Amino acid sequence: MLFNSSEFLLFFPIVTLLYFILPHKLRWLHLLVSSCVFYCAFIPVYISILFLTIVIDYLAGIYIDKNQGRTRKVFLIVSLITNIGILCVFKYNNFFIDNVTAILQALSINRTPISHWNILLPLGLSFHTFQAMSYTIEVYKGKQKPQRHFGIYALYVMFYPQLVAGPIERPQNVMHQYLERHRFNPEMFLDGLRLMLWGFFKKLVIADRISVYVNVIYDNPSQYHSLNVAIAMVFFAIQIYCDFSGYTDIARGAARTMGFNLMQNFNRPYQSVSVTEFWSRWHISLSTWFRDYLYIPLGGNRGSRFRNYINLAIVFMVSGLWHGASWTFVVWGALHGLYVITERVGSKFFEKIPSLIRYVVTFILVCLAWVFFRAADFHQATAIFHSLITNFHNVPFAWFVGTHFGKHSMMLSVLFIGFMLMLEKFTKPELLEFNNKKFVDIIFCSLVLTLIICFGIFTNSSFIYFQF
Amino acid sequence: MKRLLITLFSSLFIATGFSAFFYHKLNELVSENFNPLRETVEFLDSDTTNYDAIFIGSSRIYFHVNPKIIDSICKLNTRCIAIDGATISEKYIILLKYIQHHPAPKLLFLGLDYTSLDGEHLPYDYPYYYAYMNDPVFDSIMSRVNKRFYYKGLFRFYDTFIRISARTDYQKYAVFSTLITPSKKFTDLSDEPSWQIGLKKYKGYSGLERKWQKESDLEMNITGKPNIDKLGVEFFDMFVKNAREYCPNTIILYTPIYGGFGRNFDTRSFFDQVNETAGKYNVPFWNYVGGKEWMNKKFFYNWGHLNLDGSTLFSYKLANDINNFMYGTHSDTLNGVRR
Repeated sequence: MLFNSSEFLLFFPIVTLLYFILPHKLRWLHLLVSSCVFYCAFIPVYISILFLTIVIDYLAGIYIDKNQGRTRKVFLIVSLITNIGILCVFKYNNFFIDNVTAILQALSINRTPISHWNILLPLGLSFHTFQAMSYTIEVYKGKQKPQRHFGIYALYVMFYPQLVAGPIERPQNVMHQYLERHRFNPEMFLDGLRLMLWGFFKKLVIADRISVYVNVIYDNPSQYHSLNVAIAMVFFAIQIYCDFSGYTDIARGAARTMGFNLMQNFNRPYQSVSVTEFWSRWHISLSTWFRDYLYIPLGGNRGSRFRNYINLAIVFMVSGLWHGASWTFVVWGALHGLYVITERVGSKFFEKIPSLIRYVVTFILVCLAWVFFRAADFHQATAIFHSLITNFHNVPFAWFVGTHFGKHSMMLSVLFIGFMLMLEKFTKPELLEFNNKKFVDIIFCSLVLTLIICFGIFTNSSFIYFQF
Repeated sequence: MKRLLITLFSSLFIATGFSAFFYHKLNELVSENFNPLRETVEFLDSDTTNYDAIFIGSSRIYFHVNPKIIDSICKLNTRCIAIDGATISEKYIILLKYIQHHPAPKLLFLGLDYTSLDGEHLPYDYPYYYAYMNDPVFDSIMSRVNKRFYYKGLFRFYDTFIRISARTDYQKYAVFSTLITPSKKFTDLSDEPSWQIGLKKYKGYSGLERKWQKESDLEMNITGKPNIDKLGVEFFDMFVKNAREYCPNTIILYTPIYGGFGRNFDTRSFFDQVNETAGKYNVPFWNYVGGKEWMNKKFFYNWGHLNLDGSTLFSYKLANDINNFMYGTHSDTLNGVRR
């Protein structure tokens, strides 16, 4: 089920209302069933994959706790292999096949391409497998007690607001919340609604509006002026932020109305003055996951500088591959790795540069890397860069891009983006500042709701991060 | 709790009030100034010109047939009467309304599309038909098409809201700018300014200077077959029967489509049905699908629509064929099969 669908307009109030009506002992069951309904709205049969990983990780958690020494490790490995194996089978199979085919063809061993597996990627697979893995790893480390209530563990993986696109939670943060008795808290409820409203604004009013521009330019960059291409690159940076952070806001808001606190996933990432800072503000739940479960086990900051740089490069490339089964994502990750390593090498020099310049340069670097993230393949990415450089004189600038994006859409987009950036600059990501200002809160909610109704794009377009 | 209720209800009240006003005004102004049917309906209700030839159809008539070329070559007074996305029910409405105020033309063309025998298909801009449901012709046809046209009240309000809310930023601007500058004319709200570039309008024709749109490549590999239902066949039969009685020289016309379109799209049952009805009433069927020149994308802006160059070429061919049909000259350019 999409958050921006009419089904969710019914689903959300019913689930939230029932949650508070039902006695505490039945609430976990209610949330679990609701989460199943939410997930089954996509491809129902894939819930069996989710169920399989839940059962294996649940048992692994208990047996890791029961056993000592090597046996503990065996259960951890079983859990990790299951999760990563499922991820490989469903997400990376065709990527693997393509690369094997390319190698065989390069070596002239086999010229016939190996046929692809015709299977769809289960929704949010990368997110819930990573969340499940964090549970068994934490139990193995002894930082989390195994959850013996199967339903509560299943809810940890399946809780509907964060099931398909995170935040990728840690068991220490949320497991206990499913056992707590949540009374209806008007303040939290209002906070949740406000956050959801803001998420819908970012998704429906900004992301879906500028996506029209981005899609047209990316489909045919050679037909557009360099400035059009540059605008599309900046717009994509804004689009992906509004799309993904919009989803997170809705997820966190929906959870908050029922009294749950999910972790913060974004903290005004485009206000960063370095790429290193960007990664402490962008997709925080994933960055910290890679830090704790990959970077530190690889050696982290320990060891030589060179070893440290290698660790960073590995983490960023794996992070790229996590986003998508394509070499363009690996390049995207590698570019960020390169940025961060360069910043570490020249940290003393960069610190002397004025903040404003660092801020602008960071944003440009991030925008350039996004090209590989957005492009379908290297050909398209190259075409974007080529048009950006060469189309300055030979192609006229187009006010109208495609058939529906002209001056008026541009004007509204810039206005809404400006509003969003200003508001997020002066408020916390949770918009909690409004709690103490009743009238400002009413003005904010009324204004945002009016803008959504009058200027929202209601085409049920999916969230970008759903594909991961 | 009090704080929650105050914030919740005041925000809902204010936002609903503002947006209700916004959409109410938008709907009112669209209905007054930009209803895509208005121009056609006003023409059908008020015009009494004695035309020699009329072309009834959808966008594949108003983008394809240029009356200026037909008039100059055939020495006729020609008019296109077409509605965007018209299915057979709307074309039948056009015919019945035209008959009410006009003497029979010398030639009457019915432009067909693959959707023409899909009688239960909702019109492209169906909420705009609600404004004309008091007209007995509209009522008698549209109420058979879909139950939506029987219902009133909330149901219609919902449909209208969905249609109005889908207006683009330009369209919303265009509508509201009439409040500030009422004299400003927008030729057609359904067309963004980018569509208006080089638009040549003449007696119901809209020639469009537009190159092939890349998005249309995605539609080339359509599979399956056109939908044909009982109501569609019935309306088509009634159209041809009434048109034939009204104007003996009624001709069924299938204007060009891009030759690379729909290689796996099985249209045999569709053309069998068209041929059967055409044969039943002894009406010629001019089918321009399959000509060599229509393999060239430079004449189209998408698979189903000719651009200005394409429509000029097609109109010359059509004019020659009309001459041939009327006066028996020997410049037969018809590249389809005349039956």
